[in-house]
Amino acid sequence: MLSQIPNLKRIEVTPKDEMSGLLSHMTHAVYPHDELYGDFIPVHTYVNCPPEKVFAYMSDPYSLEEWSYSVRDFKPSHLPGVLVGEDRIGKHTKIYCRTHSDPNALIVDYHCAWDQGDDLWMIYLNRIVPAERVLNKPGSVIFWQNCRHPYYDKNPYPETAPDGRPVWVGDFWDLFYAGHAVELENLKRILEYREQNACHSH
Amino acid sequence: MSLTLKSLATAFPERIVDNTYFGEDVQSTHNPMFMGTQYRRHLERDQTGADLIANAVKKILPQMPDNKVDILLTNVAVPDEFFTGCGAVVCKKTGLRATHIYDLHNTGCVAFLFMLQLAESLMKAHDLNSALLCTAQTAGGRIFAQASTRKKAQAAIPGDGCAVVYVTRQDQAQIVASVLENFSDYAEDMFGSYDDGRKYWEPGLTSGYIDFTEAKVAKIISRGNKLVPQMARRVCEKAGVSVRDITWLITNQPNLHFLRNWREALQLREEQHLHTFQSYANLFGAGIPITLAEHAAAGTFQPGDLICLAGFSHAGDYAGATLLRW
Repeated sequence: MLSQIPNLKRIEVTPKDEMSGLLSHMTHAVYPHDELYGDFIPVHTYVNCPPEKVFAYMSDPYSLEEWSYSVRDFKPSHLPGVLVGEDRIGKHTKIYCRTHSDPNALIVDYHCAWDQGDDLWMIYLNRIVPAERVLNKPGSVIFWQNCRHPYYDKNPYPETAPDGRPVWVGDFWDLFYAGHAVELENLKRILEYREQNACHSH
Repeated sequence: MSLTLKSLATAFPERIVDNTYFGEDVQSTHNPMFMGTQYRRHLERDQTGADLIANAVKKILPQMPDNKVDILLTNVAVPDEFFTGCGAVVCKKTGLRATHIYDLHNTGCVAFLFMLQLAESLMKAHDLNSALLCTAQTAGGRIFAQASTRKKAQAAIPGDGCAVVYVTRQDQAQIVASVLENFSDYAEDMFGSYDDGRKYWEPGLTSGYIDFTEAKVAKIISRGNKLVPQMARRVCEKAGVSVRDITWLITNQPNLHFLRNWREALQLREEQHLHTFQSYANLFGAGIPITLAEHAAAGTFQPGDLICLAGFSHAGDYAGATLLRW
């Protein structure tokens, strides 16, 4: 079966010298920004705080009011399980959010959208990994991933946008790496502060 | 056949303006697009782009046989007059005699690169031997010295100045290769703006300024970051040289972040990237030839040095790179 699939690089068909040539060809000193962050935005960090505490904090959606740059004033919306708040980077912009988390897998995903809550297409995927396993030290590693959903490029529900808002969330895609790196640093600082100061609630 | 840069000269308004001239928005801005300047020159109200060009032309006029040049090309950022160009005015003010005069008004920050190409084409087509390429930047004193506009954070960025470059046809090619392109999808992302919504030809009490579509700012930064290294790499490829062979990089100089990102992308050392941002701020189209002229005069370039000129204009509608062998 595998032999039917073109361009697989496996030692049986790609000799080591050819493979090392290919790897060297693919290894650049610098990479254009959009090659790294054009379609996916991965950010990750080490946090000196145990995984279960990181999970507890992140799976509480109200924590986003602390560590996100601009999401504030969450309240329950008319939709079950969906919160509605304000995203202050857009003028008068509502943001809807539902949290999907799994304590065994240590996964916390935020399903969000600007303006409406029926189609939560802005998905923030987070995985928490015990640092003991991957870095041989206490604490956690957080992997946060975003995918460039086509709606970032074009608002599918322009009728739900507030009048006169000059921007759309996807206008900032090229700055998302930087924005998310800053927010992840907020999260790290808050979690480490809470851990050092034994805080258990907001 | 190619061009040789025979002589270069610059001219600046005398008025030096430091950051305290502007409003609080300039002192307190944290937007890196508008940070990093110290000084810039501003045109006086009665001074024109043609005056600046004429002052520079006078410095090299003695080198032109009989005060004659085959082609005069000008590009003035904010035109002196809205109806007539300034090439003929320059001739009148200096006694220069030009057979062909063309006043150009596009390609912004990469105007000099496009003018080199145009001069070469005209010389080939008409069997001509010399051209004078004049770029003047005039948005500082014109646009950002008004009571309301000088308060804006972006007012600190433009500075005025001009460069003239006298080029002749030689067998010894100094221009090694050039890559110039337009990206018309990015047209209209930068425009003149008036707070009362008037058109520039309509009467009003507000001062106009240069603005970008808010929704496009992130895209423009990203475009600029990418376009300039891309053009520099492409011109090296075209010339059959490696980016590592570049001795000096001269780009347009919109702000310190773009400058840093471009040389990082090309893996050049900071001292290889020549600019005059701290002294003159953003000189738009005049930036590249002014930096070239100042370093030519200072003796920075050694014979055989490979100089890469590169940049993008406005919000990315034109971009290019040209390689010179000194």
